[in-house]
Amino acid sequence: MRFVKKSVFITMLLLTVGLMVFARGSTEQVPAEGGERLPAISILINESPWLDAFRKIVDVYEKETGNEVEIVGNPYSALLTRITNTLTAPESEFDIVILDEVWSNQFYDGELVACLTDIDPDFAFDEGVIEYNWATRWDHELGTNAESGKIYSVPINGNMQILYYRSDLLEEAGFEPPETWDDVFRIAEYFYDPPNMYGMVGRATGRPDFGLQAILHSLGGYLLDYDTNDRTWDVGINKPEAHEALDIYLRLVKQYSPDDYTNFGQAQMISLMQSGRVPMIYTVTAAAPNFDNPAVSSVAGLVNATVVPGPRPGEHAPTTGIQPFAIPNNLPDDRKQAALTFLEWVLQPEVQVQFGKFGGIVTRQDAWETLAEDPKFWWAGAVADSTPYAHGQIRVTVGGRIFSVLETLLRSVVAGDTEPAETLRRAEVEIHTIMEAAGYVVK
Amino acid sequence: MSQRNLYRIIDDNFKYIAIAPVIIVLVLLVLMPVGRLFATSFTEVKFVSGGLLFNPVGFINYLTAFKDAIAARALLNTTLLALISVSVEVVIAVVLALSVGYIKRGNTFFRTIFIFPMLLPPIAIGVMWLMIYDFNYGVLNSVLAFFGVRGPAWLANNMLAFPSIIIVDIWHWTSFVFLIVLAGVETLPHELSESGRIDGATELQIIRKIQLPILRPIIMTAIVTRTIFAFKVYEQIYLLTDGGPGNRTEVISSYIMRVYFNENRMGYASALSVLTLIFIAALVLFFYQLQKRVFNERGGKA
Repeated sequence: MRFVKKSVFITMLLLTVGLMVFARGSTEQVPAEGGERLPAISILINESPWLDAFRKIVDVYEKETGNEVEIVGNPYSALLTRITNTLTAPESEFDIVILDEVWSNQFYDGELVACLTDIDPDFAFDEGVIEYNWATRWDHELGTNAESGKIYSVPINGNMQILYYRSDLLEEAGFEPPETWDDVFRIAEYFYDPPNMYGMVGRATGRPDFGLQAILHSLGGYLLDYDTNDRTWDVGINKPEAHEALDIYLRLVKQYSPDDYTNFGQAQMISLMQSGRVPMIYTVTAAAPNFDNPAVSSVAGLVNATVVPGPRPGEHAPTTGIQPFAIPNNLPDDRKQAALTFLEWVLQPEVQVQFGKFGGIVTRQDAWETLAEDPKFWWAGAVADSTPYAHGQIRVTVGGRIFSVLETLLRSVVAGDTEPAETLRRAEVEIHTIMEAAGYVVK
Repeated sequence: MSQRNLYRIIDDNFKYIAIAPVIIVLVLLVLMPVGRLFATSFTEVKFVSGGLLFNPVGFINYLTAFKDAIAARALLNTTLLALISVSVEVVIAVVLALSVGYIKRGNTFFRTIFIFPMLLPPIAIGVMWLMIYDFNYGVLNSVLAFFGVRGPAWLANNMLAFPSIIIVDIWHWTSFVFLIVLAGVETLPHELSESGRIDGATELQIIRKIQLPILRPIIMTAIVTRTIFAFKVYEQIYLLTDGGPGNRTEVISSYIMRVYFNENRMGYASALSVLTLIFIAALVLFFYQLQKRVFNERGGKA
C-alpha cells in the first residue's frame, strides 16, 4: 500500500514538473524573424481610461518583436511619488516612466531622465510627431522647454482640450457648434432649465487653472512669458487679459451650472454630460470614449466635438495636458536601449493609427487625420483642427507649485471668498515669489 | 569566560537585556523616521544631476509655516473638527454604551450594529456618503424632493460643507468610542448601583453619581485616542470635498499631502509635519494633565 502511494506521488510530481516545463515552453515568445531579442522592459503608467488601449498596443509590440513588456499601472494621485522614488533610487525598477507636462521639467532639469540622443545619437522625431510646444525638450541654458533643447521624452498621450457638444440638441435648436465665448453663453442661456438641464459647467476644482488657461491664452494673455533676449520672465496673471479671462471663467463655472459647481472637477463635468443634463463642456480628448459607452452614458451617439472657443472665430488656444514617456537615467545601457526601441516603435505612423483605433490619444498629426476619416472616431477631426492652436502649460521647473497656488486661489474666488481682482493680485505676487526663489529672473 | 560567569553577567544586566528589543524597535521604527523628518524640515530638496540634494536652509521652512495662511486655516479646521466631532461622539457613545449595558438580552446584536461603521474601510464610507450628499442624485436631496423641498449642495455650499464633513466623521468614529466605553460599562461593579437603588436613588442619579465617575478615566482615554485620530483625518476630506469649497474643509493632512506630493516641497512638508506632531503632543499632554487634575481633585479616587 505504501509502495502504491509513493508511486502515485512520484507520478504526480513528474506530471506537474512536465506540465510546468511545457507551459513555460509554449508561452515563450519567439523573436521576429531576423530580429534581435532585447531585454524585457517594464513601464510605469497611470491608471486611466486609455490604459486598456495602451495594453493592446503593447500586445501588438510583443507579438511583432518577441520582446517582453510589463505594464505597471499606478493611480495618478500617487504617480509623482512613485516616479520620484524610482528616479532617485540607485537603479530604477522601471525602464520607462510616464510623466506629466506639468511636472516633467524638474526631471529634465535635474537629468533624472535620460537624454534620448545620449542613448542613440541618431534619435530624432519625424515631422509627423507633435511636440506640443517642445514639451519633450529642455534647454538647460535657457532653463525652459525649447526647440534648441535636448530631447528627454517621447509624447505618448496627446491630451488636449476640445469642446464636446450635444449635436442633436444644438441642431434641433438651430445652433451651430460654438466658435466664440459669446456663442457658448448664448447656447448656455437657451438650454438652462435647472434642475433638469444646465447650460454649461466648468472645472472649478482639481486643476481649475486648466479651464482658465484656454480662455486666457485665447485672449492673448499668459501666465508666464519668457523673453529669450534678456532671459527674463514676466508674470501675466494680473494683466487686463487675465481679468477678462477670469470674468469669462467665473461665468462659465457659475452662471449656468448646478448649485454644487464649487466641487465640480473633470469627473463631475463628464458625468453630467453623460447623464444628458448639459449641452456642452470643454475638457480633455481622453474623455471622448466615455460618451460613446451606452453602459455609462445616456448620450451615446449624440455627442460631437469642435475646437475650444475663443473671443473671435479663428482665435483659439486649447490647452495641452500631455503625458510623455521618459527613460530613467539610473539604468544600464542595454535597458535604456531596449526602452528606446519600444518608444521608437510606438511612434511609427501605422502603429499610432492602430493605437488610436484601440482608444489611445495619439501624438501624430497624420494619425489624427487618418482617424478623422472614420466617423467612429468623431472627436479626431476636432483634435486635428485644434493642433495648430494648441497652447502648452507653464514651461518652468516649478510648474507644480505654481498650479497649486492657482488651485487654491481659483477655488477661493469660485467659492466667493475673495474678489476676482484681489485673487489675481495675490496670484501675481505668489508666482513672482516662487519664480525668484527657484532662481528665475523675473521682471 | 566560564559559562557560570556568563550567566552571572546576564543575570546582573537582565533589566537592560530585557528592554533592549523595545529600544531597538523604538529607534528603528520611531526615532529614526522622526529624526529624518526633523532633519529634512531644515532643508530644501532639489533634483540635481540624477539625485536628491538636501540644501540646508535653517529655520526658513518654519518661518514660512508661521506665515502660511492656508496652513493656519487647515490647522484651525482640523482643530475644530476634532473638538466638535470628538465631543459629540463621546456624548452619543456614552449614552449608547450605558443603554446597551442596561439591556439584559440581545445586547450582542446592538453591539454589532453600533460598531459596524468602524469596520467599513474609509473609501467605502466616502463613496457611501457621496451618494447620500450628492446634489443631483443623492439620497438626502431625493428625500427632500419627495417633500417638495429643493435640497442644497451639501458638500459645495460654503456654510454646509464643513458641518457635512463633521457628520460623516461622527458617523464613522462614534462606534470606536462606544466600544471603549462599553468595555468600561461591562466592568462596572453592580454592588454600588444596587446599594444606590436600595438607598432610593433614581436610575439617572445612579448614572450621574456612581457610573459616570467610575467611567471617567476610560472616557478620558477614549477622548485622547480619538483626538489623535481626528488630527489624522484625510480620506473623507479627499473623497468628499478635496478641501473645498475654497479651502473651507482643508485639513492639515490634506494640505501636507498637497505640499509634499503635488508641489514636491519635501522640506516644507516635513516642517509642517513636525509642527503638527508638536501640536498633537501638546494637546495629548494637556489632556493627561487634565485627567491628573480631575483625579487629584477627587482625592485620588477615580
